[in-house]
Amino acid sequence: MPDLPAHGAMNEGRGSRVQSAAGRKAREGAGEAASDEVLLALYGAGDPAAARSLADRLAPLAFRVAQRMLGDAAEAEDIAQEAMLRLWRAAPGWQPGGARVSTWLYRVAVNLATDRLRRRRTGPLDEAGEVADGRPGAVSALIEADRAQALGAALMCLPERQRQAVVLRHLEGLANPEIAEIMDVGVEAVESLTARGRRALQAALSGRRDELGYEEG
Amino acid sequence: MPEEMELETFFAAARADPPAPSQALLARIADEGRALQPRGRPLVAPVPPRGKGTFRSVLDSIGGWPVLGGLMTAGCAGLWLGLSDAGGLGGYVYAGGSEGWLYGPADLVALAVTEDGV
Repeated sequence: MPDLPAHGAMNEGRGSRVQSAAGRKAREGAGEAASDEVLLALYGAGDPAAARSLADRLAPLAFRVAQRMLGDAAEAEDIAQEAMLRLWRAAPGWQPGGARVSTWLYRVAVNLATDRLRRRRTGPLDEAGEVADGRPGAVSALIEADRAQALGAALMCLPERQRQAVVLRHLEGLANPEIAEIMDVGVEAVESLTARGRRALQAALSGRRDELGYEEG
Repeated sequence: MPEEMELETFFAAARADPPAPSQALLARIADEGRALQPRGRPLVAPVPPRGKGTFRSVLDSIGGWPVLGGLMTAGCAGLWLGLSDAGGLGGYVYAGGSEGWLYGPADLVALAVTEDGV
């Protein structure tokens, strides 16, 4: 950040205090449910508290979806940081009334995760072979005792687009039209991807029923 | 369908235990956000214009500085014409029954007045 002249710094400080008070008022006026769009507008106006509020609220979303798509916490951290960096840069020109901030961020995170998955596929052939060869075997190797981890491992065996659709629909709880916007496909395509993903997950997890606490019958 | 219900329990378990970023990552992201944050627009009251003095009122009534500049230029030019020796107009002049040395525009005017007999 460039150094500010003393006068500018004084104005900046006074302005920040006023904006911070305005930000508090806006947040209080809207209750706890100040929208992401309001927070982003406050951030763009220089409210010093808005950056932390947005990070606390939106970075976990990007991290979650990246972690569930990639199964790698370190890569998910990179993606969350990169997605938020893009949000900071987009904030000054953000058009109110356009896409929801969370939808926009989901889309950025999903695209970044997809790029990583594609880079993985262009890696050495023996690495690609491990995944392709043994879907049931890979699941068996990765499955832990609890169901969440078993599901996470099974998700890794789904084709990329099915995984995106299942994660967004069943784990992030988004509606099909929003998923369609994020994935840039039609709603019917989302329904189809989700249905195929569910069938593949059932097939992958059916062999683990006993271990995961399901009795036969 | 039992298998569908079983799958839902997997989803529910995963939703109940979502992967979460560390506080250190959130702090780093917020710091980065603050570093990239646009400068706040200072919300200070605008300075009201100062009251007009007499000079300012007169100046405004004649049209402001451009008009005053024109007036001053015209005045200076008139003064120069009056005080300087207008060589082009000087000389011994015969006009009708009058004659004499002409030194400047003032003499020319005087001569004209004499001619008209006013």
